[in-house]
Amino acid sequence: MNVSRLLILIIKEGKQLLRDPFSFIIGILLPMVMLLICGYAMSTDIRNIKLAIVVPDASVYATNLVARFESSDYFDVRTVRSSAEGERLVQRHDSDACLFLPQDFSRKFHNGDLKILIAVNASNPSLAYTKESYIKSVLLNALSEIAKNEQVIGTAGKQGSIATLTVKPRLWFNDANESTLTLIPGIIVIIMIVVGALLTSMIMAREYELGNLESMFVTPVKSSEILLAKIINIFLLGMLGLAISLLVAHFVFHVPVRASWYVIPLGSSVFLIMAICMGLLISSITKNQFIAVELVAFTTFLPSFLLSGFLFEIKSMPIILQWITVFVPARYYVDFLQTAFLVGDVWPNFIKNIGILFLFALTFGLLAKIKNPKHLEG
Amino acid sequence: MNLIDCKHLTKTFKEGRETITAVADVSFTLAPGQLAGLLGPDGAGKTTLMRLLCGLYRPDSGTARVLELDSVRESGLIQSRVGYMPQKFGLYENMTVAENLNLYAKLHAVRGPEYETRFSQLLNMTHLDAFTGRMAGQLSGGMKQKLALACALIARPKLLLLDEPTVGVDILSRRELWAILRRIVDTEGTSVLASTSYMDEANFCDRTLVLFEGKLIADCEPAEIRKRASDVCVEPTFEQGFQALITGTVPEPLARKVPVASDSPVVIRVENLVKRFGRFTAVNGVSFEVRRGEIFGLLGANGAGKTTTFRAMCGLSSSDGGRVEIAGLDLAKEAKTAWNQIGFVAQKFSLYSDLSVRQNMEFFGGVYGLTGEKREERLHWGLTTFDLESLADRDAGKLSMGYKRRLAMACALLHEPSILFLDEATSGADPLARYEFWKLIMQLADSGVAIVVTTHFLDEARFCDRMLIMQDGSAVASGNADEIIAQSGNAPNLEEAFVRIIQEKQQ
Repeated sequence: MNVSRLLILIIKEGKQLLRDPFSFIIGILLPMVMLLICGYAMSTDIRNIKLAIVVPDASVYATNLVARFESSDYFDVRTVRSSAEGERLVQRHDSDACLFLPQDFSRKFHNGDLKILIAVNASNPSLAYTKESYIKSVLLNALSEIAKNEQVIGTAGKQGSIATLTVKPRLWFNDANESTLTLIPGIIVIIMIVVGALLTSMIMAREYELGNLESMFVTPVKSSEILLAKIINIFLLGMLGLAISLLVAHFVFHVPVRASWYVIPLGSSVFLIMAICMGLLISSITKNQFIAVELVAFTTFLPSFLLSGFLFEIKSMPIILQWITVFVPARYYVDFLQTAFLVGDVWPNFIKNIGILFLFALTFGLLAKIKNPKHLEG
Repeated sequence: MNLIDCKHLTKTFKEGRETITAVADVSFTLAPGQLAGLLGPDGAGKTTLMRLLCGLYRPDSGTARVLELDSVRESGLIQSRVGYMPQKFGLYENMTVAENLNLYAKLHAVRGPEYETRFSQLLNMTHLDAFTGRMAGQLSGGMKQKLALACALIARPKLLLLDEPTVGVDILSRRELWAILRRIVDTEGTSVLASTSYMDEANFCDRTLVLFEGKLIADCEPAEIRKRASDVCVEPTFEQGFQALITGTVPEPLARKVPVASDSPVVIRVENLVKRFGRFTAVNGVSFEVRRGEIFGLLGANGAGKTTTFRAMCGLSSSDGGRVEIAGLDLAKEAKTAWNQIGFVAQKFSLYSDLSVRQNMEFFGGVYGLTGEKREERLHWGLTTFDLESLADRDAGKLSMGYKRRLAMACALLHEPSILFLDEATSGADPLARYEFWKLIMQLADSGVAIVVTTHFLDEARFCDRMLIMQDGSAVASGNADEIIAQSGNAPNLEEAFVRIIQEKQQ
């Protein structure tokens, strides 16, 4: 390793990164856009559910119930007279869901054998589930309040039915902020992977394609110098992206950072270096931009999305998938980031996660070095 | 002392289940102060041999000593001492000319006054002085090649290895590059080994190594190879020598059996064609006509506007002015009907490499609306005419270049078009394959098909009935070979005429 040669290469890489609008877009613009889009759009709560309510006969209770839904921001209510009409609305996708109030609502309510049908368009099951919970919670809340009022008035013989109605809502409007808090750290993981693995592999594969590396190989340069120069520049770009992400997370989405200030940069550096080494390894194997991008998408990007615990809880995955997640580096980074953001300084957690990420980085780095001697074999 | 000393070098590659021998038992030496050409068609093993010499590949067997160093054990030392220019230049396109040179100088630890002198010397020699601040990506092909050469020369290497330095550049840039190489060999005592698929470039070399199908079939002065064909022809060219070397004889000169009748109807009419890209005018008011049964050549240096004209003629791109008529149909209005009259063979052949020969033909036939018995009949015609019957079930990707070219022609002709467009169809082909190809083209033209070709090989221009020479988007000369020569002020041959016409316009 020759330091002055390394410096020459670092300066060259730096110049190229600054002049390549693409690296700039991926390194700086993409983190901001992703954070804003995901932060605003990916929250799991739903507004403006188009709800049809079938009210066969006007009773005080039924009117009261409809008013409850109407006063909520989360529903667009439409009342109809007959069940057939309600069904039709759902079938035509004019309504997302239909609430069928029975005939003799008041009598059934008092007798305690009130049955209300909720039909939800379940073409998207998870959305349907959420909508159903929203409707249920409003419904139960309304009914129990009606029942409470009844109790205050003190009419005898209704006690039994009231008891069955006091249910604590499970999903009292999913707090939009809450979902952003857990999503933002996950998005930072994705950004780090994109900058680290994707950008690196594209830059490296492009140099193979254009013959840059072939002519670079036939100079006194050592392959470790070429690799190191790339790692250092992309690392700096990635850290800039991280800084931007943290600022946006903090000032736009008010995500708290409960761990010490240096913890997130520290853990992120290790993860970023790991991602860059992975990118280098992949591009050295493929030597082709298109295949490199495909491979990065399948081996790093998608697992980071799906198997890191950022979108789906690892503990509720099938056991085989749980085993696979052990080999997904992003899993440790997600755990680390969520702890650092939301919990605080939990050193055993940090040391374990950063340690594992360090091992991954070392493995990929060594493999990249082995795959990248100064020749073009395989 | 020999700068290169190869003994029984062999290198194979595995492709799926097949093993391909790229370089087979090659032995040769290179002494200092020589300009050696490594000649061979595409796929002969030139690049593999170059990479073996640089230690970028490891040989399966045999040894290569370069600068008295072993190419496997001491590859690092070889790589820091030779000058090497890969086929794809390896320039950093978003860095300027000066920055590229500077980078290689620093990596080779060339500094201070030594760097200053070398820098200006190389810029001067390559005529790049005026462009030091320009991004490498914005240079023309010829200039890129010269810059890459300068980068390889910065540390005054004793040995310069150049992998197809002249591929894809026009004749003027090619001549200039060889002149620079000659100067380096003469003034600096450097030895140069440069590979090329242009047989005529052999004449610039002191010595020629001819590589064919991985084997070194000749290693001598170019005159000796020319002499091989001297029994059969007067003043044989290197290409004829090459043909004699491989087949033992030189094929008969090609000639049209059915000359184009003077009253033959015009099937392509281009009037005042204009095409702009932003503020740049790529084609500026070009007009010409092609008759039934005529072979028409579209010639010109890189960037002259050939490909753009070609695309506008096929209806592949719109034009900004003028009119293109194909078989009496206005291309702007009736492109879809006109397309049925056109067959097109693109430079890279556009075949589906994972489909068999027959499946490729079935597909292209289907695209042109051939079905049922008609399709079977044309398929049979294609397979027999192009001698593809025995290969019908082989994947197109596994065919040799020559057979790929035949298949592409067969596919383009299935729907019996009256016009055939060929874009650089012979680039990288060996002399034998090119001969076969032109024989076929002439047969087709004899049967009444109008053929438009673009080509880099100027000697192929003599097979054209008429041609148009383009420069900077305009037509600078047109007519048959004799007329072109007359327009150049009676140059000795067509190639010289071409050079003169272009040079005259440049000044």
